[in-house]
Amino acid sequence: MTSEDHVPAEVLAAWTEGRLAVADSATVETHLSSCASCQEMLAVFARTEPESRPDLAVVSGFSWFRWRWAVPAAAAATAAAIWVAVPNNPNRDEFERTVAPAIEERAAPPAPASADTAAPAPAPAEAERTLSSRRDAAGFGFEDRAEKQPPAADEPERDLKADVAESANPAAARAAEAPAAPEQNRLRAETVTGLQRQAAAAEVISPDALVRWRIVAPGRLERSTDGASTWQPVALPQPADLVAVQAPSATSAIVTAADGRQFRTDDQGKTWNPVQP
Amino acid sequence: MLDAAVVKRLHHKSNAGRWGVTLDRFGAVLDSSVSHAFSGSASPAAAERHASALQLEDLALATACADGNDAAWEHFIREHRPVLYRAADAIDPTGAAREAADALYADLFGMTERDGERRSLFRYFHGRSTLATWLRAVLAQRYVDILRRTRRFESIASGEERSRALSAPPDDSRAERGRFVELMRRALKAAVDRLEPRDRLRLACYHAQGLTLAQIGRMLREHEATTSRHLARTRRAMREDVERQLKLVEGMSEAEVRECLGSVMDDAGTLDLAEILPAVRKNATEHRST
Repeated sequence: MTSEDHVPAEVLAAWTEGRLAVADSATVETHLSSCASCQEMLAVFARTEPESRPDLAVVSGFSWFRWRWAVPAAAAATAAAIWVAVPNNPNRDEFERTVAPAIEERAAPPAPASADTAAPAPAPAEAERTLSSRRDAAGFGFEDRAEKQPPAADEPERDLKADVAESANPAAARAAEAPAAPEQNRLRAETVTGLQRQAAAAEVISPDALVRWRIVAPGRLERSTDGASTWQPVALPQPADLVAVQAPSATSAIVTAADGRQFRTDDQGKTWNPVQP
Repeated sequence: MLDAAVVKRLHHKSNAGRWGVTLDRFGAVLDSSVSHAFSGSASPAAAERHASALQLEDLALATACADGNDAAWEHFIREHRPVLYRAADAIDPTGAAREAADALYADLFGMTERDGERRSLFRYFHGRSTLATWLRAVLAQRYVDILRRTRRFESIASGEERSRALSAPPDDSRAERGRFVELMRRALKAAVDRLEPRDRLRLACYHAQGLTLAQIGRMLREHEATTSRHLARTRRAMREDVERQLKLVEGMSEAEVRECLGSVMDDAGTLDLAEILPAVRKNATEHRST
């Protein structure tokens, strides 16, 4: 498939499950990012999925329910606005801080009004999209939601120190999100407390769908390079009661121990280095 | 294409024998999947890696259903038809999507015949995803087709109204605001064009398609809090890009930029990000090639 071809349903399905090769996944993503037709199909597909997907907790290594507290508040609020510079606001740092958490989850789509129409009703979120899209913005900020609401006291997402797998540049993400030194141990302990609740046998799929990691028992880590058909044990530099593993790339992984220690490999588990706080 | 030993191993692993799918039949299906994924040519190692990573049990079930195996169909009806109907109801609780689900089910069963051969839609399932996810994707595709057929007649009327609105001569007091809106539209289009595909997709899913953070997160295999954070970062980057363009490309002063942004905030006119986002396709490709 080239980036010019529409995404077939079979490829879309494989992409959403993270089962395409890295290059193919990138091609699909590039096409989806600029094809309204395929985006529409993706949106309808997204709505076929039930709200709670425990299996995704296995795939990603995170428990969705455990991390719900990290979602910005006002989950029932309507869509946020993209904010633009407001005249007479000289303090850019201040509104950056207020702007950042202002992406709010939109309300559940309203139920369609009529059940006896012959034509298919618009997708349930259509009415909501029209409202939110128009207000949003020109998507761009025509009302500053952050100014009308008190800014969040904290940014809960900054506590997601373990959430490095999604960053394209994990090092930069850690540097950008690293809390002040005196807070690190407390935050790490809180993070680990949450991580300890994760299933020990969670399977984590790297961006290369064939490369996967899993913790089969405290202190025992395994890696697969054939899409979970076979698994090989991976030795750790020190004994550690592992509670979580992340795989930001096909050759990298970060493991977290129950005592908060973290180790990182960038050569498929051959060597490990401790992650400095 | 695949080595006989590999086919035998995967045939066993898939439990294809449960549905009476022979080794030769399953081998042909695996070869077809490999050909489809690699556009015809693949090294033996790549072919084996690909085939080993397939959803083998689902592929065996789909193959057996396509061949008309009764036991396989009973299993499919028990395990997957409810999923299909739940997905249809999730798309449209009024039941309109059920028509698409029913038609899909009929096509899976192979109600159409060609040259005396039953043609099942299962021949398009190659095992790269789970069968359940593939069914939902096909259902989504068909439902969108239905929506578009319905929408085609509505869009003509709304397009005429829109062109009448746009062609109405602006009065002097709105001329400047109209100019600002157009400047913003250009700047926004360019800013969206410069986004990374994943960021642009996230933005489009949220603003143009109306998906929730949770839904976007599932599609992109990231936590919804991460989706939120990335969206915030993207809009900050876009805001900075727009300001930079207004200053450097349009030659506006700081004061003029503030006036422009303030004016657009007061009245966005016909500016709508949802319409800007999908329109950048051609430009985005050209931009990345330079």
